Amino acid sequence: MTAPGGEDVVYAGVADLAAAYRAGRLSPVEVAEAHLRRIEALNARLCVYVTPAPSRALEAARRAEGELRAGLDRGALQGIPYAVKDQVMTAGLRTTAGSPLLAEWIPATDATVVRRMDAAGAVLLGKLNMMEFALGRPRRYAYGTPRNPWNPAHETGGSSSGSGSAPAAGMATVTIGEDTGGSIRHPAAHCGVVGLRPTWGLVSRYGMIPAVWHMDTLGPLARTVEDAVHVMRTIAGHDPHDPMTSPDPVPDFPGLLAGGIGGVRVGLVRELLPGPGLTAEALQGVHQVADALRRLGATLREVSVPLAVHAGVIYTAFAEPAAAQVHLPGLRRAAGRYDPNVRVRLARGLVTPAAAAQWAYEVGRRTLVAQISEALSQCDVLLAPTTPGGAPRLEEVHQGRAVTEEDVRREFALQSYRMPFSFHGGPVLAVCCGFTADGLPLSVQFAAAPGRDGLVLRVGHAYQQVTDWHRRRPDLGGG
Amino acid sequence: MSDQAWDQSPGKVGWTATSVRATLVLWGVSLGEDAEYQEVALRLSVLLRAVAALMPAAAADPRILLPDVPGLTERR
Repeated sequence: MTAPGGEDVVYAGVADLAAAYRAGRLSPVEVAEAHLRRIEALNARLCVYVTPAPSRALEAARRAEGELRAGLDRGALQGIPYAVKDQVMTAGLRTTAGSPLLAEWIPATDATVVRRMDAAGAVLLGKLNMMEFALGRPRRYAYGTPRNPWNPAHETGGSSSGSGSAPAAGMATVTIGEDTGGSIRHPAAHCGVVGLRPTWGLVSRYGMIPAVWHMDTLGPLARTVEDAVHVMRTIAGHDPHDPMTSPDPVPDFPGLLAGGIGGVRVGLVRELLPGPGLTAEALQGVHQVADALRRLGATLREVSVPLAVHAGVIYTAFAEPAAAQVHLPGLRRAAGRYDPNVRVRLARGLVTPAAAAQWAYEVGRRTLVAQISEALSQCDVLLAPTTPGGAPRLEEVHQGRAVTEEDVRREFALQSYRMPFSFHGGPVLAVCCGFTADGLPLSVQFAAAPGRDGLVLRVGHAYQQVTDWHRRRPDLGGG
Repeated sequence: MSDQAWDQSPGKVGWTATSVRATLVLWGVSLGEDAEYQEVALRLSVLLRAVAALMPAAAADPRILLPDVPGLTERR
């Protein structure tokens, strides 16, 4: 089944589907059914969904179809298939957070983001696979190891693993993930899609199982910036259930995409170009993006964030104790049911001395934030790689052997790319910027000061208008 | 702290693992296998070494307000 643009409906964008529904050329029910068939065909292979929800999806699609026929127009997301990370509560639909501890838990209420998407008429297809409790790579995924749609021998990234692979594999038009230290941008990068970590406080976290509550941020993943914007305009805004949400009016996100990027000052982060483990292909990708932005009228300069390469150490020293506080009751009751890797990280959080955690949070984090603010005083947008290269092979990241000191140091180093911008609290957008020689996606991220979500989206959108990486599709056979 | 104090020979890791186990007992948490305590100990020691090395690099470190005080403001 093809959309008006000639592409299969499972790869059609929000605007094309919305136009086709209103012109009577497609119906929300047939598009939902096409996605459910796709999930049925591919999920065993790719482990994208923990819990598909076909009944709920078809009911929502029928409701959207009836409303559109009756002239009740709820906006662009009406009848659009979406899915959420299984960290987000859904009424009547189990929510596992990727953990066997919650295998049977069926919440009574929807998270605010789900309530808002449903009120916009979007069609929830199901719950997406993730790393256990969004606390880093598990030794074994409780609901199957997510596989990269571009090459199933490679990882998807995480912790919002399925939120990245679903749009890439045509198994949802848009998704919602959660980013604490990079968990939206990591799978977005490895799966070749767009992922936005919004300004902290722009999107309600009510009904979201926390990882590190003072850094957790929900945000959209999609194939295009334009599609991500449709989600943002729906889920952003103050929520009395989440006192951390901003009381400010929601920006006019679609309007913010217009106008181009002439005169925008882009800062290349010196310490990450190259940073730890950065491949030549990834470095070249960043410079090609910089060239494209220059041709679009942006100006470029180099800026410095000296502590960026130490962000992993700083984060670990305060974030693991914070996460361990949340999980202390679970660890006391059933430590053996946590994944061993997650259990070990939480245990380190419980035994990390206060002197280290307090220094990391009050001094290390603040110093790094000050360095980013200083860099952003010299430019509008920071440009850096999202990951040091394409997605690693699964056997490289799921080692069966004992952990060594070198492994731990490498884990810290690899957090240099996404983590610094998570500290800052401003928006960060990951966008596909090419492919490795092996056909795996590469990605850059644009970061800006808090509240400038429209700016990073505008830069990403302008970049997608002059490139076609987002139009490439993985070869998934007859699925 | 001298490098010797960060010695990660099997004996030292074992000693640190015992202290990890003791602290977790105070929290009421039990991990199970010895290997996990040893991994926590290893991960903790690498983290603390890295934090200690970073402390002088942070501009907000209150020690910058001090003159050179033996045993307090020395930089490694």
